[in-house]
Amino acid sequence: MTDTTTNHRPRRLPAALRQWNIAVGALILGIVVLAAILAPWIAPYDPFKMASGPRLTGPSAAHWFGTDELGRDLFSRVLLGARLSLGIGFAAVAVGLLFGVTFGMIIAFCPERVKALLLRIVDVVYSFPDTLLALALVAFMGPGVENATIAIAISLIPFYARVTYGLAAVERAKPYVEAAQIAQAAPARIMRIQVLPNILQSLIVIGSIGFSSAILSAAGLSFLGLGVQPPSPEWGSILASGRNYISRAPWILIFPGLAICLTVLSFNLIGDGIRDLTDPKSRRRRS
Amino acid sequence: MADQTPAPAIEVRDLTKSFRVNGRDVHALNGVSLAVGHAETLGIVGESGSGKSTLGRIVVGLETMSSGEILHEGTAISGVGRAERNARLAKCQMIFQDPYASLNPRMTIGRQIHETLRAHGSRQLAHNLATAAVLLERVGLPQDAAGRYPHEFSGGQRQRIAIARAISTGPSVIVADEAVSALDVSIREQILDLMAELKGTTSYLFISHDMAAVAKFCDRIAVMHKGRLVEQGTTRQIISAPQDPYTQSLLEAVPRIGRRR
Repeated sequence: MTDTTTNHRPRRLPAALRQWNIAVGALILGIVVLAAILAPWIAPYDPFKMASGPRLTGPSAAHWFGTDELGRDLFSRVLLGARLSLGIGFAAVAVGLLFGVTFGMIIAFCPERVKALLLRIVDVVYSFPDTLLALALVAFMGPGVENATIAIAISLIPFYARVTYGLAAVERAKPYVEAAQIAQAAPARIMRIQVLPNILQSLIVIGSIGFSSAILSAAGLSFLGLGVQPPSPEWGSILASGRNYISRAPWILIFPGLAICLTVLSFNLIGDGIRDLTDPKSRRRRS
Repeated sequence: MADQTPAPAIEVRDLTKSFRVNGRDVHALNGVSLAVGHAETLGIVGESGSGKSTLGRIVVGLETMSSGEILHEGTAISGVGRAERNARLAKCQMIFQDPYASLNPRMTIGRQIHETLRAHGSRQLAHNLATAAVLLERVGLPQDAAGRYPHEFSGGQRQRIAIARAISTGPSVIVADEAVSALDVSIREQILDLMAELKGTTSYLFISHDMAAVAKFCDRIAVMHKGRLVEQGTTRQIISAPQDPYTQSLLEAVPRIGRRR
């Protein structure tokens, strides 16, 4: 709706921001990232200090998001929590995508028998719920933020590998890939140059699905004391600790939940926008 | 003619291909032997499921054969090393039926031709793009075609691009698998004319169920039925005096304008 009148191809960043969903998504994500970076300076209270105000009070001018069961300022905690939640999410999704996409792509180009074997292995691992898989891995590696992040990344790999395999297998059967094979192009180059650009938009979408799943796994692990250690604030762990006060103090759940929601939404909006931008067909429609 | 000294550009001997479907072996190809001479155009005709596409795909290396032999210039490719075999297979190109799926939708035409040339060892982008521009002009496309994406072209134009890509590496054999079947009748003539014009010394395996196109384009015709070769001969022989009953029924099915029933 903003760039229908121009026939200029919106490829560079300023033009990309004219896409409304990218603009809104980037705005939200920008605010969250900025909050994460600036948290120590803009937080009105020390997020670790107990009894910054009365316990379990609702949102007010002094405490925008209210206070938690220990009287800590929730706004400050959610701000600082953005660091851990985003950090774990980004790191886990990046590592998970890197390995998952590589594996999925290679499996799609394997000979029939090797492919069947590798797919079964992926399926077996994928059959574990990813939080459970992450839990088992953390139990094995020991608790802590780093180990939790690694565990969540590994738990995402089967999902990413499976989806990438499905997408790549469809492309592999298409004549344009066969033409590259007939020309005896190197398989690695076919994967990177021919197949990857054609499945990238779907990968961006599943990347954001993984992001929300990563945040939820992090919350689950933190709740069990295997991930982020208290008193460090993390959206998931704030949610978990507020669970007992859901009827008396719903704001403890609402605000971190809202933060997770908006962050995931911003990823989905940006994912959609990028798809619109990179799809040559929709590019023609707009111009 | 076939017994003269130069070995055929490509030859298959006793080729079989079987798939396992529900525990039963299905023979897609059953002892097919044929040869395509230098600069010769061999038409392969037959109904759907006769194995003609499988034959073409095995020749270019997209599928493996169950048994038999493929010879390039008289040398069996099963007997040579992997690098040598790839180098030989790289001399084959293919033109596909679907002009929409045979081009990468996210790559400019110039880049696609560059990728093909690159696989043949010509790695310089600028040089390859210049080659692409020349090729695209030869197949009758506008000068700026190299910088555009496939969706900006019609089906016929895309098939011209596919031809440009196929001839870009100077292949010795081109397998055209139903290359004109998906096109409008008027476009079909144009593409056939273009293929004939650009033929040069390349040998063609022209796979089609369209008898009229085969008769127009091919020097010889091989007729396939249920995975077997039932008849082969010069185009004139097959069209005017078919020996096999299946060939006769195929020719009967070709509609002719003005023919009385």
